[in-house]
Amino acid sequence: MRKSLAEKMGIGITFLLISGIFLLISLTTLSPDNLDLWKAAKVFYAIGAILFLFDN
Amino acid sequence: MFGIEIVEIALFFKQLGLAIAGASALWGLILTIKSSRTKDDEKKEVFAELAEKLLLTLGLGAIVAILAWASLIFADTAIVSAHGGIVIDPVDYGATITSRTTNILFIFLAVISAIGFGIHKFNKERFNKWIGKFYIAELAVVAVLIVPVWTWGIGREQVFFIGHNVHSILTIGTVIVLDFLFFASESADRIKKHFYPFLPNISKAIWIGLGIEFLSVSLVFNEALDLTPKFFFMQTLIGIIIINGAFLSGPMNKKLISSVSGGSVRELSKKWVRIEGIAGAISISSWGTITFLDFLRGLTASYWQLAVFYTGILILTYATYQIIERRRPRL
Repeated sequence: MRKSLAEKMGIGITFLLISGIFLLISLTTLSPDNLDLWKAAKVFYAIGAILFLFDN
Repeated sequence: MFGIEIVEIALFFKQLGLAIAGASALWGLILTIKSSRTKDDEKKEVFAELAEKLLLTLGLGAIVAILAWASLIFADTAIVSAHGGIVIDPVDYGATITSRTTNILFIFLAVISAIGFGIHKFNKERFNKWIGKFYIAELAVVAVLIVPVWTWGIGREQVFFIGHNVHSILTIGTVIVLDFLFFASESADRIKKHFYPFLPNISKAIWIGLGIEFLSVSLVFNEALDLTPKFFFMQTLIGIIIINGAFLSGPMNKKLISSVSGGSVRELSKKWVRIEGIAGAISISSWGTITFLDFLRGLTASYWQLAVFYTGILILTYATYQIIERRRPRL
């Protein structure tokens, strides 16, 4: 049976990966009036890092 | 050129040297503790050997930091730039650590390093009994020196300055130490067997370091955000670091650990060796570029000029990896 990406990489690392992609995408809309996407990427990072710490 | 000043380059080398020395002391201490606690004789020997090898990076880091400090004595050093492209000036926060205190601490660092390395050269057995305490002393001094601003009391700004600078030990310093240990482990299968399963611990420290950086920025966020091309380029690098780091911590670590599982050590295929080299080069050159750019306050380069600079550093780093990989020096 084929493993999913999350299974291959671990849930925490998948969250971290998403936060990196998210951060790069957020740069296209980043301005002092529009920081939401950028902050959301950092929240994803925090979730990923916590999951990674408990996952290993 | 591009608004870069010599003083800023010296400040970068001071930070880089302290980060390498701090990370070497930290991992040297952890490996020494691991070595003393394990009952497996081979593992005990390997961890003690790796801890001792880190004296080399510690010494080099300390020398770079001390030389940069010596050159800064003749310049005004009241400058700090925060990592991640967010810039604030410590003078605004009533810095209380004087250059005299910093000078005394640097002299102290030079003295304890000289004593430690002297004992190691002439009486290795005696030094090895004290190696853990030596690493604790070095780490304590470096942790104070790497924070350029100390204010009276622990306010939000002080927490920011601590987090923003100490994280270099866990990020750029640890990435360099990790590469060094990785090349050092290439020389013997018995080292690989015990070092590869230890890699997730190092990955954790790097993720925590980046987390400390994010948290400390949020403390001064409103007054420090400056949307310059440098800021945007650094955010791009952080994105690259996270994506590359997820790959290194996930599939790459798994591949390395599985290559030493079951009691035997198997060589990685050429494809994986190449991938490992590229990912390693991306990691070290991204952290190096971020740390360097942080110290350039008046940088006038555009986003694409910075991208060309980063690509050049990346190519140079990968070429250096290839040379080390082919020559396989005994570290």
